[in-house]
Amino acid sequence: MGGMDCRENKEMRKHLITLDDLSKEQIISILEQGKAFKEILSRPIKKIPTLRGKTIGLLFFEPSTRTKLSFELAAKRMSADIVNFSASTSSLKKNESIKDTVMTLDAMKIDIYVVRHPSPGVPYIIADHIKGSVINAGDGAHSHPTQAILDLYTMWERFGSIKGLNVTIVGDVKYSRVVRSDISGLLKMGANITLCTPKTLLPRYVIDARVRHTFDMKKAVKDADVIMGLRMQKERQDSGIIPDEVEYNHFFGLKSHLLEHASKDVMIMHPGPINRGIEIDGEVADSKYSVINEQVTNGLATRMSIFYHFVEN
Amino acid sequence: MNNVEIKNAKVLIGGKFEKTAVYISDGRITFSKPKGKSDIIDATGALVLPSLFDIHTHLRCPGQEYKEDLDSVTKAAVHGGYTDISSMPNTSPPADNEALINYIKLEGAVFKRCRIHPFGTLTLGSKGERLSRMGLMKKAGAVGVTDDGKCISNGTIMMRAMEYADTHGLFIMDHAEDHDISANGVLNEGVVSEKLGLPGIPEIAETIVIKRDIEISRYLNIPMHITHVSTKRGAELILAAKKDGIKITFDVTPHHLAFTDEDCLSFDTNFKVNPPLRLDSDRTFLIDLIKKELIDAIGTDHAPHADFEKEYPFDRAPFGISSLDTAFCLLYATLTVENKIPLEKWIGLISSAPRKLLGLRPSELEEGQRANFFIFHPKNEWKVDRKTIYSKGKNTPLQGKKIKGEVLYTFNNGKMVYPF
Repeated sequence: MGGMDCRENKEMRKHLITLDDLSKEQIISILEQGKAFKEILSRPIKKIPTLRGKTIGLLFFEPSTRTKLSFELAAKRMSADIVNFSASTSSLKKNESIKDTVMTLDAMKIDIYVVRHPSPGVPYIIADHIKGSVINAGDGAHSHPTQAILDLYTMWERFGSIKGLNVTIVGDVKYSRVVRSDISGLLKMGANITLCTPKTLLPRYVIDARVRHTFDMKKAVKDADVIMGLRMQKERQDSGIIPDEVEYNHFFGLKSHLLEHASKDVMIMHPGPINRGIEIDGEVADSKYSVINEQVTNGLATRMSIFYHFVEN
Repeated sequence: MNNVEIKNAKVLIGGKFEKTAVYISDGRITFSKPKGKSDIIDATGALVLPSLFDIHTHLRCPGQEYKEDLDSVTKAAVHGGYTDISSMPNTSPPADNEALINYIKLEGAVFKRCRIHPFGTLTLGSKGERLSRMGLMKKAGAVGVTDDGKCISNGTIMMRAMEYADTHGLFIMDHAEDHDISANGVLNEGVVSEKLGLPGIPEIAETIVIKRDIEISRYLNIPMHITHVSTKRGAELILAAKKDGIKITFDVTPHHLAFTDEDCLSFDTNFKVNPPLRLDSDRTFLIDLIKKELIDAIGTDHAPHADFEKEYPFDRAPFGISSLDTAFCLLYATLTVENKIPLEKWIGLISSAPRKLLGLRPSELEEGQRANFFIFHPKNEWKVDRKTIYSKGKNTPLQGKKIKGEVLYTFNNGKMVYPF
């Protein structure tokens, strides 16, 4: 695997908290290395010794199934030791501060911390108090860089390059850490971004002037190379941000008849878990255009690549 | 008791600096050498300034002494050049009756450092429902009333509270915030809050209440003071109302003049404050109003918190900046050093102006006046850290930074109260 020595050539930051921590070249390096790991995942024996003797702590302060599983499996495939820390079983219930919790863990010599927390910025607090690396697995509505990397990978693998791709993102932009990270990564790689969502789910202040938005799904998907759906959380309806799921689906649901306006080999993506019949219709999710399950495999491969880039020798 | 002679300093007399010796004799100021022995302070390069008055201090006591107590707050005050502070009533329990006003006045006096002028609440428990005993609180020494931290949302109750407060000639202060709009916001709503994925507090959470208050004040013809105005739009509304003859006044804080929401980009909870730090265009507009002498006062909104509270994530940490120790130095750095506004043009906003607003005696450096002043060295540099901040709340954005301009001595009624 010739790409493996990229670590010597390119200096990586110690933590991955937002995509701002990575240059375009570093992102490409992670993607290229991800491809090598993806090949390993298709072998009969999927385990490699790269992280043998390293310890990875999975610190999940809010529930997660998919992301946690993906990180855990990526670490196991690379022969790392894993320790799990989740808020429900931890001493945080006893009102211990994040700082104290993390300092205790650091005394156990953990090399990489994978952190998920409902409050934006917590990975920075943790990074300030530990000697290892922090990889952000999602902090509130702030950032989810490994999801963005896997999304970029999925586009890069299919199209060869992200520059100039028309990417349409549909759904709850305002409260989404995935969108914040995807926008940051896609802009860095030169994609054209269109957002489609009602005003109540759109940030009142534009994050970047290069991002366009529309309220019309037909316009939004026109000539799109990629359409990305986002999960509509039930609580948005309860807190009066959208009327209800029926109306939402009517105006902003991803339906198969819309796809005829898109590019002919359009790719349908979704970070999961999907709500069939709300933000995406079942026949779209199951169509030949959908790469939703492929994204999960890519998530595993790119997380292996991220571990590889961020672990210290 | 010996007299005190302060020599080689420039003294602010009647709005102008004069190079003259100042003496303290029998607790009073004199410019001619008194009889008897004098202790001499050589204040070469320093300025002698009238002592400061803070119109907006959170005492935290009774009830939250882990954040601040009367010993630490009075130390912080005199360290910052303040000999008088007005306490906000959002203590635990809230200062909504004469017994608590008495407690604050009596206990605060124990340390003999500075005077505390308590505010009482407008409504019982600051709940915005029933009127508090404003008349009895005034008799006990309350200088004004406010439901600071909370804002009475019910217009009828606000009007009644104002009419009743005015019956007793009480100064009425409002913290202008529509809590339904600010909701769970933690910093200014704008590009920064969107980037950080944190819920924002829109400008209109403030301006919508300022507009309402202006209308109530106009309709009832009762004066009202809006505290810690943070937005350009809010200040513009007030200035326009003043032009219409409405009796409305306002203050701003040092931190809204010095910092902006971009300072929150590092998730540093020491910049988390309510009202939130706004845009640079708001900040520079407020500074410009100081240049034009259109602001009525500067209040610190001193809000100390314990370390562990400010170590919570940004969305869970409490609002507030510990300010008394550093307010004057920060203002000097921001207004005089950075924006070239001469000290003599703005110092009134934190000394004579708030005293005048509350109907208290002014404190000027005049022959025969009580010796309430402090000595400030504009060139001395000092480091803000846990030891140099006397407030129990170490939550200042200046933590760990060096600042130019140092308070050397503070005198209250002729007695040196700082250094301790």
